[in-house]
Amino acid sequence: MNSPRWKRATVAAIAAAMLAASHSTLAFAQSPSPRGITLYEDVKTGALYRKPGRGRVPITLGFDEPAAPAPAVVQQQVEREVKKNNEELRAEFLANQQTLIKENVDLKQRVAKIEPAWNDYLANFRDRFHVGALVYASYKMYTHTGFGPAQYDSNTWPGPGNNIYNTFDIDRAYLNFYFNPTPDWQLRVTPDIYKTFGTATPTANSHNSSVSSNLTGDLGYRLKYAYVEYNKILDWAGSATKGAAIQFGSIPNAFLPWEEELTTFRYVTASPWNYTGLSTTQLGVGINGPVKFNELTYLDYAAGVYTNAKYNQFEQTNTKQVMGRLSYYPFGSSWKTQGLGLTGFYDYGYNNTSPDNGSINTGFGPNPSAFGHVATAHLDRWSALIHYTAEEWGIAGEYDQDHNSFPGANLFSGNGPTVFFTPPATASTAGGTTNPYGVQYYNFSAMTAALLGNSRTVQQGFDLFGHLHIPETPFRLIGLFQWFEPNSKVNRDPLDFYRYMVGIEWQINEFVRLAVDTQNLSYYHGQDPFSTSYANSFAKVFLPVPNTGKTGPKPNWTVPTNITDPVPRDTHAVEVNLEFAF
Amino acid sequence: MERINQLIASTVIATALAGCVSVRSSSPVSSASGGTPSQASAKPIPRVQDCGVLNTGSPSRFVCNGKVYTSFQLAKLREDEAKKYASGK
Repeated sequence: MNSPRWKRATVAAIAAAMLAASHSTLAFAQSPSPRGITLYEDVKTGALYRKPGRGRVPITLGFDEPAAPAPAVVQQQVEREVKKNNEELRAEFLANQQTLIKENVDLKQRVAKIEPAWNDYLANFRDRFHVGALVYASYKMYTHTGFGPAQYDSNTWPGPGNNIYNTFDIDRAYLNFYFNPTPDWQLRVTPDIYKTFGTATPTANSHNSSVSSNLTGDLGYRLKYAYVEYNKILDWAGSATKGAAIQFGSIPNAFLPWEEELTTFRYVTASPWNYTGLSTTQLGVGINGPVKFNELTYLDYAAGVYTNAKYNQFEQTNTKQVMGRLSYYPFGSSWKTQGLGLTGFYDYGYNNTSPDNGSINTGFGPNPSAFGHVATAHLDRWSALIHYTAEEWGIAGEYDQDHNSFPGANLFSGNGPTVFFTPPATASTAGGTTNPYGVQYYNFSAMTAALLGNSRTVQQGFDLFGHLHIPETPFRLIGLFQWFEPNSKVNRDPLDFYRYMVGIEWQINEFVRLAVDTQNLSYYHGQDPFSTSYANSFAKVFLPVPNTGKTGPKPNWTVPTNITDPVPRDTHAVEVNLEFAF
Repeated sequence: MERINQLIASTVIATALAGCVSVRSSSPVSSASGGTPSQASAKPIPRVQDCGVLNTGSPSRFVCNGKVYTSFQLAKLREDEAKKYASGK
C-alpha cells in the first residue's frame, strides 16, 4: 500500500517540475502578441518551438478571447434569434391587427350612428321649405272677336274682324316658394311668368345701325306674392280666434282669393270682380282668420290696407285703399265655405294717379277738364253674396255695386280700339286738317271715355256661379254668369254686357285638371244710335274742333249728332283649359 | 260659329241636368270592387275625383267625406292602394 502511494507522489512531483520547467521554457519561447502567444508545433513530433520551421504549424494560445464558434453554430443561433424575433413580431402584428379590427368595428358603429351633416341640413331644410308650381295653359279659339276685358293679365285677342283667331296660351306660371323657419312664421315668394306687351322700338347699337326689339310677346318675370305671415296673431284671445294670420308684403287681398276658392275654377275664367278690374294682389298689410266654436266656423274675415296700385304697378298715390270681407255661416262651417254662407265685401280707395296729375283729358276733345276730378275721385266696391257649398256641388249668387272702378281701360283690358288708347291729335283745341270724328272707332271710343271715365260713375252687377260633380265620374260641370252695367246712370248703356261660361271639367288626378268650355261676352243692347249730346252730359268730349285744312266745313269739324253702332261686337270663344298645381 | 257655342252650352246644361237627376247619396269614396274578398272588405280610400275642391295651390286641398286632404295625401293614398293591389295583399 505504501509503495504505490510513494510512486504516485514521486510521479506527481516530477510532472510538476516538468510543468514548471516547461512553463519557464514556454515563457522564454513565446512571441509577442497582443492577444496571446503563438508557438509552432512540429506536426510529426508534437514538439513546440518558438520559431516557425519545416513541418511546424502555428498555434496561438489565447488568454482573453474565446475561440470563434463554428459557422454552423453561429447560423443556428442566428436562425434561432431570427425565428424568435419573427415570432415576437408576428405575435405583435396579430395583436395590433386584432386591435385595429376591433377599433374599425367600433368606428363603423359610431359612424353608422352619426347623421351626416348634409343629411341633417336637408332634413331641416325639407321641413322648413317647400316649393310648388301652378300653371294654367290653354287653347282658345275665338269664333267671334270683339272688344272686352281680359281673363288674365296676359290674355288678349285681336279685335273685330278676326273671327276664328286661335292660340295656345300660358295664362299663368307661378313658382311657389314657402319658407317656415318656425311653425308660426312663413315667408311666401311667388314669381310669376307672364307675356309682355307694349311698344317695342328698335334700339341703336351704333351711330348708323339698330336692332329690332324683341320685347313684345316675350315672357316677363315678376313677383306676384312676396309676404311674411305670422299665424298666431290672435291665439292669445282663445281657441275661438285661433288661426288668425297677419300678412305683410305683396299679399292676397281680402276678397278675391277667397272668392276664387268659392268658384273653384279660376284656371278657366276670372271671378266677377277680377274680370272687371280688381286685382287679387296688392302691397300692404292684412289680417284674416276664422271665429270658431265647437270646431265649426261661424265667422270668417279678412281686412287690410293696400296700395291703390296693383302688385305689378308703381304706386302713384298719396292715399291708400282699405278692404274688408266678412262671411257668416249661420249653421257653422266644418271646412272653408262649407254650408250656407252670407258674405259682405267693401273696398274704398282711389285710382292709381299721382296727385299732381290732375284730371287731364288726354285726347278726347278740346275740353281739358272733361272728365272732372277723376284723379282725386274715390272709388269703392261692395258686394253681397249668398252661397252654399257641399262636397259635390256649390252655388253662389252675388250682387255688386261700385263707383268709378270701371274706366274704359278696364273694359278694354283684353283689347280695345286703337284710337281709345291713342286718340287722333286732331281731337284737340288745335284741331287739324282731318276730321277726328271720321276716324274709325273714334266716336265709340270718345263715348266710352265719356260714360266710364267721368268721376261720377256707378257700376252694378249680378252674378251666379256654381259647380256640380257628376256622380261616379271624374267630371264636374262648371258655370258662371255675370251681368254688368259699367255705368248704371246711363240709360240703355251700349256698354252693358253679360258674360257666361259653361264647361265640363275633368279631374285627371290630384294635380291636373282640364276643362272644355265656352266663354262668351255679349253687349246685349240693340244698335240704336247713341246721342252725342247725351254722352256730353257725362263728359264733354264731343265738341267742335278747328278745321285747319282747306277742305271740309269751316271753321270747325262738324260734331256728329249720334254715334252709330255704339254697341261693341260680341266675343265668343271655345277653350280648353289646363291646370297643373303642385 | 255662334251655333257651336250654343251647342256646347246646351250640351253642358243638359249634362248638368242629367247629373242633378243622378246625384247619389252615398259617401263620395271609391269602392273596392274588383279586388279579392279581403280587398272588398277593406275600407275604401278617398279618390280625388270624388272630392270637393277647396283651393288650388301648393298644395291644393280637397274635402272628401268631410275630411280635408292635400293633393299629396290623396296621391299617396292612391299609390299605396295600387301597391297593395299589385302585391295581392
